[in-house]
Amino acid sequence: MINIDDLAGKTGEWLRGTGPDSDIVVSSRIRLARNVAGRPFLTVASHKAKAELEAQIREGLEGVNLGKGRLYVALKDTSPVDRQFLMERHLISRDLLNAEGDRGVAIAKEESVAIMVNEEDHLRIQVMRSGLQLEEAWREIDRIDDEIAAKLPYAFHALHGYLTACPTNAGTGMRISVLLHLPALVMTRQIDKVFQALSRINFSVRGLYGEGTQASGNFYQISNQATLGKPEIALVQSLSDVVPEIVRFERHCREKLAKEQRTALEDRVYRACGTLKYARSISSEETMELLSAVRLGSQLSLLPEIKPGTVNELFVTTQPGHLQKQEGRPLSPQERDLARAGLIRGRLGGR
Amino acid sequence: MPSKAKSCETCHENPATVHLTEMANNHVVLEKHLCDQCASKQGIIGKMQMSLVAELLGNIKDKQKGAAKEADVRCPDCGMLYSEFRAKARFGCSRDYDVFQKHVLALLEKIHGSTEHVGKRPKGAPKALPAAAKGAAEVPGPKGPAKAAAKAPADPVAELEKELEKAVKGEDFERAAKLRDRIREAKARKEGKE
Repeated sequence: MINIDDLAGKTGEWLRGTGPDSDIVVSSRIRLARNVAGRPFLTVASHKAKAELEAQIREGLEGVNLGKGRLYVALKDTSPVDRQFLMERHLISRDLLNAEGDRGVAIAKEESVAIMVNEEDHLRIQVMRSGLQLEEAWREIDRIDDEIAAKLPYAFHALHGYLTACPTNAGTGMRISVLLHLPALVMTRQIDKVFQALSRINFSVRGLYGEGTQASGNFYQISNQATLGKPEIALVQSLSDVVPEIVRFERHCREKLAKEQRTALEDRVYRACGTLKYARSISSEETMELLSAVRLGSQLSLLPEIKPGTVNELFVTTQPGHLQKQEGRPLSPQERDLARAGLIRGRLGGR
Repeated sequence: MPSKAKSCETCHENPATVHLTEMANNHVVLEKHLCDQCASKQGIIGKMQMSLVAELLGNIKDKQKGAAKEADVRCPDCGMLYSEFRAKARFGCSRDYDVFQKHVLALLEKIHGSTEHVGKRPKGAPKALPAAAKGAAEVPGPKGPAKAAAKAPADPVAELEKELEKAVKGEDFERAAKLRDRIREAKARKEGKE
């Protein structure tokens, strides 16, 4: 049996920096929203109903093959630091972190599978992959969903499909998100063009931690808006079609920067690396910004000694929850800035 | 020199990561810079999520001004009123989809450009379009998928025809045209099967 502390020692599969187009596509994620038939949605569920639901779903999930190393975290009894830690790893949402009452998350397969219980919907099933691997993620989540359906009767409507608490998720209940690192599009001021084009074809763009968050570190999540009226595979295909276009555009801008603004680019990358290697205190915001430049530099072979996986990992492990988990105690913002700088120096071989 | 990030307006401690700008007549009327925690506490993140649905619900209401004074509907299962759904933009239970059907159809069409699910179905759920009549909302029922599938509901064509009639009465001809196509398809499917 593993626990949260075991997760802290390593990082999830999706952060490895491997997989197709992983220089730009950090991860591919699919989630399905599902509700148990005959039960009230969480919008109106009483404490008792929530407790019953969590118990019923936990039991149902026990018979489902989620792969090795599974773990269930009952969030009601979990410390704020641990909850924050899980959110930073994209294993739970901010809503689940802030919710009250009985709720939890089942995690498996080196964090590539996470099933949130009692979030906005009874179940939020998530599969994550490193790089651009949407079809693979879909095949896996489809299988898991079938297995869960055999244990828990889903709320399903003959006309509208899977029923969800929010009408924006009804139908397939499926949200596909691809996390992209787009520093060159930002530097060359092309990013707004991309956003406008995406919104015209009904994709939404959000920051690193989902809805309502700013895109820090030049990370952007692209997802489908509509969930009803198209089969799942068509939704997967629509993102599989559009993401390579963005990847190509970002690569083009990277090459252009490397050719036409070589000195400015090198200056930015090496300054960022220098600060990260030697700073004694650093804020989360500055870290994101500088790591973004270092990630770009490492992809463009300006920093061959720094592995892409190391940088990916630092984006997550320098977050407040992770730092406090590592230190084993709550830290003030000032203490976090010191701990963060120390962690980065260690990982990047500074002094 | 470290670039100083703007700190949260409320706690003045964490960096501001949520930036809210409210516009009216192309002018910024409100700007807020908050950290995640404070934005959550003030309900701003939830509000941003909800605004899309609320806005769409508002539009639908305007369209139906003629019937504005109609009585509020209450779901017999979860007790939610249609007016509460409008305020929360979240359903209380799966039956609400049928209880508020009239509004739900228009809302789903607005959000997704469609009302009809064409993706995967739980094993045992009927393939064709069954009646979305009362009680048919949940297939499979609480007794398990296999059993529930047996009580596969009535005629999909009849149900669509009912909707078509409604659409014509409401002079929603765009929708009526779509429904006519679907009736044709459903009939073809039925004949193909029998």
